Amino acid sequence: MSAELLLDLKNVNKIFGQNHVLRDVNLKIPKGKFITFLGPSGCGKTTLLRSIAGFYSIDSGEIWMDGKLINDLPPHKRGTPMVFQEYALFPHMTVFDNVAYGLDIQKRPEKEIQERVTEALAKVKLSGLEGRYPHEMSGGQQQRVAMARALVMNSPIMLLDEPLSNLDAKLREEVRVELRNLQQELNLTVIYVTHDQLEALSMSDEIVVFNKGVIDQHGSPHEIYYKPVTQYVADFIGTTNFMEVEVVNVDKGTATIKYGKEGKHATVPTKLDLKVSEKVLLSIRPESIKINAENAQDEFQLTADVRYTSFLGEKERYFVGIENNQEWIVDAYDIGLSGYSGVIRLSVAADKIHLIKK
Amino acid sequence: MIKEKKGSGEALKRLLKDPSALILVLTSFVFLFLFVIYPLIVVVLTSGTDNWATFFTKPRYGKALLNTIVSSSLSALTATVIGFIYAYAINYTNIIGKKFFRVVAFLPLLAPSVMSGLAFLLLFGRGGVISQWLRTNFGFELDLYGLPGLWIVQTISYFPLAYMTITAVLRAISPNLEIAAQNLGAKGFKLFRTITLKLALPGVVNAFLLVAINCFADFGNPKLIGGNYSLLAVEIYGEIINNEPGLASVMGIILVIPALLVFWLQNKVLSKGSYQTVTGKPVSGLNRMTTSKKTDVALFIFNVLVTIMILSMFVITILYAFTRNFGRDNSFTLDHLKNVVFSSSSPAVLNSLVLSLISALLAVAFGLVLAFIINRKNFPGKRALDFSAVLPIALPGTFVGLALIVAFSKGPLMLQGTAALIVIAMLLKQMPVAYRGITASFKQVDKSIEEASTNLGANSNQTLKTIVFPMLQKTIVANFVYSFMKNMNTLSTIIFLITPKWVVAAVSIFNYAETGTYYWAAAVAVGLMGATLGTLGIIKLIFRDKVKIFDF
Repeated sequence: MSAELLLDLKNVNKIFGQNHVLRDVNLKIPKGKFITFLGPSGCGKTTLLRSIAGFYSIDSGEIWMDGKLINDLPPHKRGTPMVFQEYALFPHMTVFDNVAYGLDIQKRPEKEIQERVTEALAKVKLSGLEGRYPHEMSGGQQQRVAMARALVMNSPIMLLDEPLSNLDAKLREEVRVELRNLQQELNLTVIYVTHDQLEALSMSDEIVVFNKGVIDQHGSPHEIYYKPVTQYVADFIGTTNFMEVEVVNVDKGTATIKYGKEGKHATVPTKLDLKVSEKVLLSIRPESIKINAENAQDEFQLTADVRYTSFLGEKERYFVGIENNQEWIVDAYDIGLSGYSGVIRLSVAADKIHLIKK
Repeated sequence: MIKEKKGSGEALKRLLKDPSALILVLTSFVFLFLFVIYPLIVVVLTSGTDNWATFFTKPRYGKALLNTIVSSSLSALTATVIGFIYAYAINYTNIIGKKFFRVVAFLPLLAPSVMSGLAFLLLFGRGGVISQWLRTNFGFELDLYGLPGLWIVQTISYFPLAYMTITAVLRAISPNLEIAAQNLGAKGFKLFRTITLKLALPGVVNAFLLVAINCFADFGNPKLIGGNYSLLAVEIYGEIINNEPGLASVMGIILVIPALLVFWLQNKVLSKGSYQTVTGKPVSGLNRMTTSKKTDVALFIFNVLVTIMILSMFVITILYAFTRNFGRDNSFTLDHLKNVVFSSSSPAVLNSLVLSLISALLAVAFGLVLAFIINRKNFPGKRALDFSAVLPIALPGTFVGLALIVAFSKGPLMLQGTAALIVIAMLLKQMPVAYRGITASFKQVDKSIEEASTNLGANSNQTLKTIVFPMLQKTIVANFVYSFMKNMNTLSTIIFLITPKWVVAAVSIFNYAETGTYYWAAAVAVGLMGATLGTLGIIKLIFRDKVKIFDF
């Protein structure tokens, strides 16, 4: 088990003045995986990344890399090449010299440097631009130079700090795919920091969701999306609908809840350890809700009235009022020229209903 | 409860793990303590109560203090007014010859300020060209020694400083503001008074203060032209010659007080009081049309007169340098240059060149190191280091020289009479300027670029050498050039430190002028300017267009 671990963070704390930015962070990062630190700005994700790179010294806790405690190792000895948000290319050096920099510092033989730089530039599809200066390149190309400069180090790990945030949407999508392919091809351990949930969901093997310096959840993209463990995670990733409900019966792997004004019952699968009469949150994704389904056998039924709609092409999004004046969001796909209005009936299958501890 | 690891203990621990940074920090502390703080302490200790009593009881010292205050206030006032009008004419009108006016205002930087004193003597002194002409044609005896002459000379020598300070301020004023005021109906003098002058005022006050403290502690011209009108800096010189370091220290401290006050004022009051102009995007190619034709003509004539005064200083000096004895024997000769510039027995110009280059190089290197560790490293005592690095900027050259001679003329660190002490004195005056300039550039270098270098395995020394140095190249060269020119022309700072073996050109000009060997003084001045220009030319050749030395 420990042989497969690249990084093991134990009770890491970091404080900046009045801000407790990382609180008792425990995290195990396996080798060869694409790990994303996800969260809004100020949640501690970048701080943790920079602590791993050694730019911040942590205030308590331990950072183990490859079985070695590296708390006190200065950044230049950590071997954790990083791609910076603003790329941080050396403006007075050509592309070749930028990429060769780390190898020059290691005083590698000329021939080896030449080979490795050429190879790294080929990997990021920049062959032929060796002689350019950073200011002569587009943002996308600069970003690739920054990646090549990290790749050329042949380190088993690569850190990326919101590397795509300065690119336009289309380019971002392209680079996402390339980055994921590179990671798998080279069997790299990538730690990727972003506030963009789509980036996180589309590239990662594992996502670590940060909430005010604490890790709320660490799991696969599917787990994070469909089985969020806190209201914060459910809310931050994608769009979701909440309702407070009461547990009336607990069985092995399921719980029966009482919901709505009429107190209807529904039995749903859950792994939570619940007690009878405990209040929990029910979370349902907009795309899991069916509207006016014919002979629905679904566990969960609710009436609602359509307040307003927003047509997004592949789907139409309905903002509907349910009881207690609460607003839910429901997505209907491929609806053609027809649509819904007035009072509608919502139904959800039991396995699409997710319970969250309050 | 987990606490943030900070404070001096933690900073020290981190520093100890980075030996290259540790060496830089320790060296800086030792150097600044030894050459900035320690001499200050020695001066204060040397002054002693009996010397203070002597100073305040003997009327000649009180008179010198009063003279100093009067003459420097007058000179600062006229230099500022002339500097303002000159700068206004260049930046706010459509007169012709702007480029020429800019270049001429820059010329005095090429020569030591004592050259203005020399030129004044050559024109208006007892044997001066104009005095003689007045005597033979009108029987009029011109006597400008004392306050009148000093006032004129200091006004001309420090006018460029005022002009440059004010130009920087005027350039920062967006034309949009004046155009907006015109759009609202303001014009003529009202526009000037309510908008331009008001916005420029902090800069004008700053220029006045800068000139005043420079005059306050200046040594060369007061000694040459002052005659019986004695000034503090001249009195200090006398006490050093008389081997009375105590009295000299008392007067040195008095010289420092207004300088420190101005320094403090600049940092606190002026920075807050300056106007933050809120404007949209600057409109390119927008020209002010705020002055009338008549005003333009008047301003043009004014600027021509100023340039004539400046140019006549250079012309008369050159005439004296290249004639056997100008006024009596006007035949061309290179003998004076041969005797005092290109002769192995008078190495003053060569000394100036060598010492100035070494000192400028060290000043920039040290400024760079300080800027690096103070901006990028964390260690206890950082603020103290920053303070002692900037402090010498506030100390008049006369005081720096005095402090060094008092502190290092005895004891284990006997440096008196060595070239090292001259280099250090020049360095102390220029290093703070370089430190500040490089710090400003440092703040423009994104921190992540240095982090990227560290991240790829470079330690602080390697990062400094391969990333920071090259990125700061422009600033470094510009500061080197500035320091070099200042070093070439300094007199006050080193007057107490030179020895017969290490006489420098500025001192040589002063000595020859004092003893009345004007053609030699002029020849050394020409040699000095030639050496300065030649060096600048070589630097320009090395860096080509990468570095802008002259920014007209």
